[in-house]
Amino acid sequence: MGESRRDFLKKAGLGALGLTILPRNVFGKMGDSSSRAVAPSDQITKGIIGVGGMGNSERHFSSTDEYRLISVCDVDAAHLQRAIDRGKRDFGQTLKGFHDFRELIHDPDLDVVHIATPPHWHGLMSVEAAKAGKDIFCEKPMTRTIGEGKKVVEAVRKYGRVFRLNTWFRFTDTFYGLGTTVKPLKKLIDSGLLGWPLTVRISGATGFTWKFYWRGKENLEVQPIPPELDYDFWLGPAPYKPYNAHRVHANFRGYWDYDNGGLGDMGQHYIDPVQYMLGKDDTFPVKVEVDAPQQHPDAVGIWRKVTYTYEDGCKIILEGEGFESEGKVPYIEGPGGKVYKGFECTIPNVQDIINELPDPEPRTTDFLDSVRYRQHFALDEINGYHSCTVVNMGAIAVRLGRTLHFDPKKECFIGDDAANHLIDQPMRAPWAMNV
Amino acid sequence: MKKIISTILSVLLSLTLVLGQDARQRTVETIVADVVAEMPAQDAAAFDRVMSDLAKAAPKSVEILSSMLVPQDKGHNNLVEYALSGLTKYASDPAHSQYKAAVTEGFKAGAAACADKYNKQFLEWNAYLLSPVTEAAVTAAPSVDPKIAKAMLKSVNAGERAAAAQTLVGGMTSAKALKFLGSALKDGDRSYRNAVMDFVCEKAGVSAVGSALVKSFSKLSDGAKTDALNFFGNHKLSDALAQVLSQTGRGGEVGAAAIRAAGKIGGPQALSALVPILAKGGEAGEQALEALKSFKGDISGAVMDALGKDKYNGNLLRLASARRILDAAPYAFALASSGDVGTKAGGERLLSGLVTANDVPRLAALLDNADDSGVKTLTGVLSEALRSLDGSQRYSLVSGLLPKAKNPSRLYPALASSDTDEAVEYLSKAVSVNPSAVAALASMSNYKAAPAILSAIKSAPASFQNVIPSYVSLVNGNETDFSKKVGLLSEVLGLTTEPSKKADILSVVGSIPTRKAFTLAGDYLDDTDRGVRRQAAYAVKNIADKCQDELDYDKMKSAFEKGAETLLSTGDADDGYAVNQMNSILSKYSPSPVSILTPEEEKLGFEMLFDGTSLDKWQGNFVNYTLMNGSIYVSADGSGTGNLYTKKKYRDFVYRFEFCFLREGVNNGVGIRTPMGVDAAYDGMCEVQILDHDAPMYANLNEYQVHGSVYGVIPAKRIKHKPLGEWSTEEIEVRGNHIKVTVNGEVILDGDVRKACKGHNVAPDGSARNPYTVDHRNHPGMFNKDGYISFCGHGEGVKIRNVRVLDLSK
Repeated sequence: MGESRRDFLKKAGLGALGLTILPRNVFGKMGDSSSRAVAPSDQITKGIIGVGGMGNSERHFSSTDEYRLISVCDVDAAHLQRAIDRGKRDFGQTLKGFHDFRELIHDPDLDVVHIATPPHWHGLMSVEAAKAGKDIFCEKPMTRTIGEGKKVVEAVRKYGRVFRLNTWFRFTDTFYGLGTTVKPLKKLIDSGLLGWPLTVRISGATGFTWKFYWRGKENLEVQPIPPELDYDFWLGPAPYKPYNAHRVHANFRGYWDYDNGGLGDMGQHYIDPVQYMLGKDDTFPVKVEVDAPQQHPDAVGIWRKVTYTYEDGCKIILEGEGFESEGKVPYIEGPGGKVYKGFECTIPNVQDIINELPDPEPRTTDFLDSVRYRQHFALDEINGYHSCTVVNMGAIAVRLGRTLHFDPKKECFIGDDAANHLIDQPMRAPWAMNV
Repeated sequence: MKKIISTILSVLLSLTLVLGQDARQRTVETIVADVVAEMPAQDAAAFDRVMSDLAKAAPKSVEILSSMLVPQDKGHNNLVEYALSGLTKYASDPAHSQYKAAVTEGFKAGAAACADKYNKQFLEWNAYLLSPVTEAAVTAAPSVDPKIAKAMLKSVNAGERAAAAQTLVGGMTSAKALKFLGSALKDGDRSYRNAVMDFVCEKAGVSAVGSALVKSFSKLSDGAKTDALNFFGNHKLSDALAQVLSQTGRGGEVGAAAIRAAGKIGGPQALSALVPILAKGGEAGEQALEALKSFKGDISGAVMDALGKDKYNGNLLRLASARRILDAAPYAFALASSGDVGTKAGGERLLSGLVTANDVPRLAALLDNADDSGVKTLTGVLSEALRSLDGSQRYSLVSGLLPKAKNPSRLYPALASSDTDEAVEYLSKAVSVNPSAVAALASMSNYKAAPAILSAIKSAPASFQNVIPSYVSLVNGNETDFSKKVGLLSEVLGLTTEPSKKADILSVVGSIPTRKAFTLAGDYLDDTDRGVRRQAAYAVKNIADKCQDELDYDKMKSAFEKGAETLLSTGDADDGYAVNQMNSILSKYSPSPVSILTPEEEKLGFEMLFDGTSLDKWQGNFVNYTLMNGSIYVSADGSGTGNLYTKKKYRDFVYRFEFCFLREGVNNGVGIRTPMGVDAAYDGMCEVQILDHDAPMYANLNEYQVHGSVYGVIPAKRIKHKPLGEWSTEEIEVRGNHIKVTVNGEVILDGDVRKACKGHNVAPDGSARNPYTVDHRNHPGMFNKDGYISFCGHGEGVKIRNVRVLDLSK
């Protein structure tokens, strides 16, 4: 029953070569199938690009019968070797190791490209993976610029790929320090009981930390490049700046060239579920206001407050670390009521009311099912692009230190050339994103 | 460069504005220097003020700033970079467009004149940001060349084939595109089929694609049928409902897709189709359950109708429970009362979601008679039933049920959920009868529950490990006194065996910004468990970052070194950053200063007793007297007792030291010719007071108690102390019975103890009341021939440094 994954996942040539395709039980997961061996043809294979940080984490550096890690890539030879050794140690497998991500992407044995590099590579690698006919599992933030995000959306569509952005709070897990999952909040908002428009406050006071320790340093001294690191390749599309250890590896988030500090690191985690809850997955705020000290052009600094406003008056307020509102602060506030941490709500018997309502529209939350049935993942390139754009809008406003107005249809800032230049930042040759 | 501000001058000179100079007649060089000195601006107002000065002086200001950039290895550029990028921000602001041209010109000239590659790159980037955005930058991505698209359709790479199809479909009419879809659906590659559906949809619209799929549906392969069903569902095409419902019984991926699609399309017809599938059970039943949980609209009628025919259908009741269809409650109650163990357990589970406060007595009765697994389930159900009541309502309802219950302890969790003081009291008493009261107490948010939980943990640590996390969070959320909080956490840490729990407690300790917390966390930096060590490392870092008490540089350094060793071994990015943060915290402190004798003291033969580096010449209480950044810090930390004594004994001497009060009301003293372990004021020759007598709490002080007094014997002249945190000098000279005290150069006491009490250090009649001393007490040690010099008392908050002595007996 059903068709083999290889028929739709793999190159058309396989069947013609006369290979025997083993049938799979598509509902295997539901029965008592834990002991069921996965036929090789039912395996989905993945390769990780960037195995220094996220790519080396327990969550991602994994390999199962169903979803098998076959290759790793890193421009730091030490990271690459460590990953290969770990593959041997943890899974008893010899992973293919690559220095150049393009070789990993073009491996015919590979189904899914897992992008765990610094963000300045995410867009470019996603597009290259899509062109090579691979599906994509990309760490957040989705892209470092709004323009790169747009191209990822185009490429994924054009090449018929499946894309998953890796943050997950819109569909599972307790939402950081908020003490609740997003589901009841979504149901409550959809019920209309809170009224409209809503204001959402993402702050230390509501359970979120902005990781302001991701800050860059000014006046970096020039240091010798360590022999194991291909720094030029690590920079890739980013402008070449003399090497200093603080630019790379654990600290890159503190530099605008590669990420946007704590806002870049955590912003999409926090804002993506809000876009979903507010039903804004297909649009953007029309205005972003900032309160921040002047930013250095290279090193990311702190900010006090970022306020987004949507056309209908909904707002998202980000409060910087050390600049939180005092007292009991609601996470969501509307004309009809307030919701605090732990789903504490000013509306009586809210839990019972919520329980009577239908669950939110079902989405595909199993990435492997997305790959098998070509269904959009719950957090796909489209809503990922939208929520990442909200983050990037904030970062641009912080960098420029002024209020920006955004046209959600044209997807650009209104009457602000500098802000629009930051939508599409030039890439260092020979790197370019051609969809 | 000094900032030139002179209001009078500017008013006078503004009348004669000169080109190239501003209202304050500053040259461009001066303006630039003034702005650089204010970089970076901390807020928008400051930013606009300084940048408008620079912008008005463009392009020259930009050129001057550009020329100030040095190669990266030759110096620091940050302030100039702030100024230049700030100017770009300012001039690119649509509100300041009048400056854009001049600033841009400045950047271009600056870049042209710049020899350093990277500075040039920076200047060009600024010019780029100021340039207009051309339409070209936002044009759509190039698509596949139509000429090669046909050939590309044969590519083995499905992605390339999709891209080719996108181009081809883009050039077709709607009718052609739909025909193309027809053939694409025969393709064996699912990613290709779905991509083409997407492209054709854009061309011909959802409803046209939907109709085409409906028409060709019966002829599609099973794989393509699945795709079509997904399409119907994703687009909620009710016109395709017949096709969708025809496949719901197929099983496999086709059946699953059909059930999913029916749920998304919704409506009465889909509902009537899905409910029987749900009732029938099996894999399809599970899929129908998922679909119906999110089914839009009121489904209670359909579910109740089906239940009417099939009263105890588990799947129907699962749905009723999930959607809170309360009319179904009687069925679930009936099942929960069944004699069959399996049925009963199922019924109990189903009750969740179907109960209200009215059901509480009934649930309590079920709970009272339940088996072990039933207790667990029904406890949860009962708490749901109580949800709509407030604390006091819960308490009165549940406490009313307690007397009738055979197993009252089963109602403890419900009672605890009231969070009332009455419940705390009841449960605290119940602990001795039934240990399950401890878990109930631990589930409360009422801090009054804490002492009973702690005493239970202490009485049997092994049995109550599971309540430790709740206890810790209770303390963490409610205890506002930091010192008490650390004490409680320290106590419970000592009772905790599981490393992961210890680590959790340490993370709470890490949020308390006191030295006591720092010391406690530091004790776990060498723990045998890596997770505990890691959390201890985070704790010392976090505390040091926000500590409200002073921390000793050397202790911090050694704690950070240990912590870094643990953190660097994990390879985790956040851990690596934590080490950087430790370094940056440490860099804000400097190593302890070392005190040295003055040349004059050296000549006279003074001995350094404490130079800031060690307490080697001292003995006694090293718990409350600790080294702190070159001082002896006196604190109430830990459980130390007693005083700090010199190692040697002295008779006649000159004793010099510096002291500093860190908080109001500090009380200490210098013991003279005292034995160890006694009260120097009475059993030593005397105690010279160290006291912040200015504090309001000492408003009613006796004059013989003020700072510098020979306690109880000779009052000193009352001085006004320096503000908290500032150092004072003191000298105590002792010769025979004569004592002289000098503070900050002023002699405040000069007297003879024997004369002061007319030779009667103790009452002549042997009584406890001595009329000859000002405090009317006996001072038996007054005439000791020698003894130690001590610091006495261990109230928090005094620092002592640079302690020297000149032994006059030698």
